[in-house]
Amino acid sequence: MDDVINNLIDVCAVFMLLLSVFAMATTRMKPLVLMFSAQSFFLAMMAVLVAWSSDSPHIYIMAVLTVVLKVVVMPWMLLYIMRKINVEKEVQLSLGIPGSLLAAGVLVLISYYVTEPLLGSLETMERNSLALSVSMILIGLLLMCTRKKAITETVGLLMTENGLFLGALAISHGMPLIVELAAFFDVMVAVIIIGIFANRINRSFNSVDTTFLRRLKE
Amino acid sequence: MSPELLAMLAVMGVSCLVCFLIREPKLLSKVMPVCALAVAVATMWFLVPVIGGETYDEGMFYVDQLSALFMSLVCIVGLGASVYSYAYIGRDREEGELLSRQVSTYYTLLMLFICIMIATFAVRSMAVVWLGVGATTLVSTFLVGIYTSNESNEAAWKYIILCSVGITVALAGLVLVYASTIGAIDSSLALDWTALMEAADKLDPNLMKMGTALVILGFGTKVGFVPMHTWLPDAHSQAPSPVSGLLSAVLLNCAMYGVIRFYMVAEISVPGFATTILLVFGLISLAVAAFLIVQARDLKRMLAYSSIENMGLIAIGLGIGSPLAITAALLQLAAHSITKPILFFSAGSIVQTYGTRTMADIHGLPKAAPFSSFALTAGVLAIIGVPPFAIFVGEFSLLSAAVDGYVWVAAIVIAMLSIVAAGFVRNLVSMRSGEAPEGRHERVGFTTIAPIGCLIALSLFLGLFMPDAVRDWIDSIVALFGGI
Repeated sequence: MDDVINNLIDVCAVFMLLLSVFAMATTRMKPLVLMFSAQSFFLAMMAVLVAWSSDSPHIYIMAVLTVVLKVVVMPWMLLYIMRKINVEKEVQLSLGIPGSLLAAGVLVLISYYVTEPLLGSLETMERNSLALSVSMILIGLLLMCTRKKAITETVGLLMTENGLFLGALAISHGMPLIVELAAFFDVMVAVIIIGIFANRINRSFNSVDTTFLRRLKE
Repeated sequence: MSPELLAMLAVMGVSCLVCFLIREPKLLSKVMPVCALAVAVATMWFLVPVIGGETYDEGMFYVDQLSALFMSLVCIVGLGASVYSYAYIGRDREEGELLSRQVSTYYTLLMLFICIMIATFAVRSMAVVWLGVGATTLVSTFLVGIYTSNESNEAAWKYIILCSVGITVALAGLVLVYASTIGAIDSSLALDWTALMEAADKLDPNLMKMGTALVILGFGTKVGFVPMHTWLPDAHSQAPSPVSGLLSAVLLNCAMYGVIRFYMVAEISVPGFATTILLVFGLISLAVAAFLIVQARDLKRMLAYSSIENMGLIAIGLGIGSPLAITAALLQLAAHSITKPILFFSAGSIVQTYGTRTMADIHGLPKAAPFSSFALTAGVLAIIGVPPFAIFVGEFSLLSAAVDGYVWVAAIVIAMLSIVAAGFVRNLVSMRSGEAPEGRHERVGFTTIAPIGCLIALSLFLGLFMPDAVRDWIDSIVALFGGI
């Protein structure tokens, strides 16, 4: 039975990584947000599995919060902002799709390489998840760097955060409840504020393309 | 809970509530400094026994001498910024830069910002410290973007995105530190400050190393270490000057506090690791900031670069890691917090008088703005480390600490500080000379003179006669660094 659960946990982690990679390859805004939502759903599934197998009930709270906030509320908010400011449906890329995918692949390799020294301290099941988590964090950051719109930067940040929660689940069976609540609170408020400023930027430049934000320099 | 702590929290709560309920900008601009004064008095009253050597440890609160240092700096600078806001924001309102609705929002957020910073230093769980540092970003984003111009929106956008990434990286570090405590500390206490210090030598060294690196990287984004510093000059130059002063003098300290706490644990569990990272970040920040100061054209950006430089010096002090170097880092931190608002406040008045931040367009300062000119000159002399001022004590101790075993660091620091001094003096001289423009006069009132004057006096006082109480206070903080 434990084997089955461990395999399912791995499956969830792999799906999360796949969705991050797909996000690198997508050129449309709405699917990008939906991919984030799906990724969060797998995170919640994984949390449930970990909670069940390690018998730690507080992780269920985290799973519920993930479903409510990250699967439903935040994607809805992002789509709402996009509708409100009439953002164009295409994602602006500064790195083409083949390049993005190649970069994502390299990042996965790097993650396996950098997590190698840590593996001694961990059990087998956690090894994959840790490397996957680091890859997702790196790919999320890459997404933020290579996409030009305010909304895509936000999705990149949120996917980074998902990778982080995956890592937390994998190596320490979740963090203390207070850390998780704090993290949810922080992300939630950050997304609201980012939405407000995306709206302001849109009003100033009639676009949420952050390449317009190049005035402050010397 | 002790009555002092309860009183402090109650005063903070009531002050925030009062500033939230009063919407009339004229009234609020008078009430808010009074609230800030009340918060400062209540906090200092609570801190007196702590500064005397006691450690307050109860429930979720933990205040030792290190937290007391940071808390008192927030009180001093917060009060100064609130009083100075009356003059600065009042003029902005008259000139139509801000709507009355924005003025009310400004004061409410300013009060909340000060209270959150004080509370961040008073908690015992590192997770809550992390939350506090994150919350300060969220509140201050609106203060940075208060003018709603294109430039200030851009500054606020960069600020929230970069600092959110930073805080996420710091959380990743926190996760690894937590993972390193498994087996050493009971999981409900795992990120508890006292528990971490007690069990520091039992933590898993590999996880702790990676965790420390990520925490320093993450909080370092908010401290303004190069190369994660790019938000800093934008935010500092676009925010209203009282807020710039607060950001530079105490917000950067909040993140530095997180770095210092993890540094203390890491130095016990994996000695020599955190020091190396901080030394590298410190030297890079110092060197890059020195050259940015020389080529700066915008007055407030130049001051922002100087914050990066000072954070670099503090990191170098921590990076050397001997007791003298840590003393130097703490002195530098306190001195910078007291000195930088002088510069930002006087620069704010100058910018309002001339209507530009470009230094090439500012001439004849002593004629057009006699008081600001005097204050800016005093501030520049203080920040480049001219002897009677407090920064000199910090920089001198840092150099004496570096000479013992880190001569090459001392050499680099001296070279960079000379470049910084040259850059500052050149720009100051060009702003003081020349013809003053017609029809532009500064407005000087009590609310401009009092905060700037008090800070200059404090900086001189600490530089000339460092009282024994302060000496003992700093020594007791250094004693907390168990790893050295």
